[in-house]
Amino acid sequence: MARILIYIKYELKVFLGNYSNMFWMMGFPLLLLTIFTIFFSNLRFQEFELEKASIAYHEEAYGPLFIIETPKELPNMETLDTSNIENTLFKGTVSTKNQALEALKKGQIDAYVDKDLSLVISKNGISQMIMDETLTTYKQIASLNLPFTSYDFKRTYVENSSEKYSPIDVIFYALFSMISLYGAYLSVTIGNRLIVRGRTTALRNASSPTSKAWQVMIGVVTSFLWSLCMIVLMILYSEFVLKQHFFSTDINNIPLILSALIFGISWGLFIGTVIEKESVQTAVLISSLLILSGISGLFSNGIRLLIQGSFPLLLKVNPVSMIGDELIKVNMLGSYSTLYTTVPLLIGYSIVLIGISILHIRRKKA
Amino acid sequence: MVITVKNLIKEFKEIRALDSFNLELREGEILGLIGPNGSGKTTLLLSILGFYAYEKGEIKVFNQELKPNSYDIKRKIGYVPQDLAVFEELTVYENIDYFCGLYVHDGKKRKELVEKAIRFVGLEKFRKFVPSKLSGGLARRLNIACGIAHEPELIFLDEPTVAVDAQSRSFILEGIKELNRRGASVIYTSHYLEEVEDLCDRIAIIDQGRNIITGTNEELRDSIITTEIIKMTLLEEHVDILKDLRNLSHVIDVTIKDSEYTVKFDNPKSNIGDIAQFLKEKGLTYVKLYTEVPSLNDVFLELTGKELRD
Repeated sequence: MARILIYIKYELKVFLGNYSNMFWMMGFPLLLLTIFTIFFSNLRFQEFELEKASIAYHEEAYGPLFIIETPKELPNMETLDTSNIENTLFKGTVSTKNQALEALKKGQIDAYVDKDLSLVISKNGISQMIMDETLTTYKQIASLNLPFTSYDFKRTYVENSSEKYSPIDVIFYALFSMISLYGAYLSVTIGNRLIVRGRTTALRNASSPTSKAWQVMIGVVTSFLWSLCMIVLMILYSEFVLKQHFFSTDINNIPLILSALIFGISWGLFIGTVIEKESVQTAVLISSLLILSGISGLFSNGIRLLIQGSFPLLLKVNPVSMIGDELIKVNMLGSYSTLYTTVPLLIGYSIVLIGISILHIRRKKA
Repeated sequence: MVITVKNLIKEFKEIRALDSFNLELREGEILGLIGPNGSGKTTLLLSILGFYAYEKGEIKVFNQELKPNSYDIKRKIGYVPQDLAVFEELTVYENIDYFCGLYVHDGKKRKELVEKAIRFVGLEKFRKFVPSKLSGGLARRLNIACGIAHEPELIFLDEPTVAVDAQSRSFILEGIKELNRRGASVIYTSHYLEEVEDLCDRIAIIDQGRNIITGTNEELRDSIITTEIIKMTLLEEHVDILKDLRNLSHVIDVTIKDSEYTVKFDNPKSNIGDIAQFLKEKGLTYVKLYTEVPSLNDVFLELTGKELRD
């Protein structure tokens, strides 16, 4: 154990001695968080009132809208008018898909629910996220053949949404999501110290009787501890220095953040092993994190919408989007409908990335 | 045998870096590998250490094939790379401790070994310095300390004295002799011939990926035709005497460079008297006339047809 601690100390010292790493790992996120707070904090503290989203839906897809404020006893479905449904959050009208897409383009509606309960949106906001959540939960309940009255949609989505949260928070959560992946900056160096291809220290490490697995483990543990410190530091900085409250005390934050940290470390390890040149590794790492964060809406909501319109799957599999959305759901909506698919998915990604990396490290011979 | 290399072939794309290479390192000896840059010295070391996959041949270290998980064998090996292989962010002590710790797990024992290595390379005053604050020579000593702190039985030293001042070089060479006296077998690569001649029990001459010859200093000298080299400088240069010199008995080569004549002989007895007599007969006055035995560079030159010196 003492040996492990000594090596973690050395790993940290080597990493912290690199000013470029320090900037990207600490300076850059602190700077972004500060800048975002300066520009957007006024919007956060404005009295916020959730606007009703205007939604079009396929004639057979009225269920999710109806169920949000459905009475405990279901009405006669044969006589129920399902062409127009209005509740606290949404104002819905039946429409054909073509008409709805046209209306979306013109900005006349905010979203369209298709026959298969997929959601097409024109802008990203809390209402759309709630609609998305409602659809997910609706599908889950339907697949389990449970009565829809068994779940209190109104309490989960409608009442929580009345809390004082602002749509601008989406940007902050995308930032926290990106920061949670910052262990990658440390773990990207692991491969360079074990694969003989440039760094002379790799010659020593690889010729030693200490297994590569042990050395990888030290690098991963160090990266994990460091990135955990970083995310805690960021939360404390926003809470006590910037006076911005983003994180609730919800215990579900823990598996989410831990899986995000593990994914970040795996991503760095993967890039550091499969790409040979250190300069290219850094460039790929920085750009990949920025691109993934950009897709998830860190810099502009428009980019996220563009992706959502053209490649919706990209948002579903983009880890930054996944983490950011879950952070919002857990901390703003108190919803966990997708949390326990997101966490295993992130862990799954990580296992695949770590597996490829270890195979690469073990097999790499010139 | 500590190391046996048989018919090793290593290629990098179309370039054959090692060509049917054979080598043996005996227990307790210092074996020097000499050859010009790109001759295959470092490739050989990295192949023995298991970093390079090779096309054909066999390598055995302590009578076993070195595999990635041959930890018992690796524990006996120390490697000092050609370039500085230390962490710029760690101090002298921490660097040695870091690398020693990869071999020695016991904290107390490691501390003793690190202190011993620091004393061994004379870095006691610099233990808290980071490598960038050390001179080139001191940094080289640190590089060596990181490779030998765990007291290995087999040490690979890849040009450890490159760009080192005379004082540090002498310190390093004495250190290597001391490691050898303690029982370590050493493979030492260099293109400083004097070092190799002074330090090594046997020498392997490498050129274009081939082991041209391996032997002691004497064996290498005996392997070439040249037995004596006489050098002289005349009061006035007379190029016309070159032909007459070549016609002397047992002379195999005569050259002139920077007004100095070099005459090579192939017979075992001293020929300096004959040369003095020749100059007297020709009425020539010399300002310098001396004899020397063939150097390692002469051996290299005769065996490969090129100079080894930079």
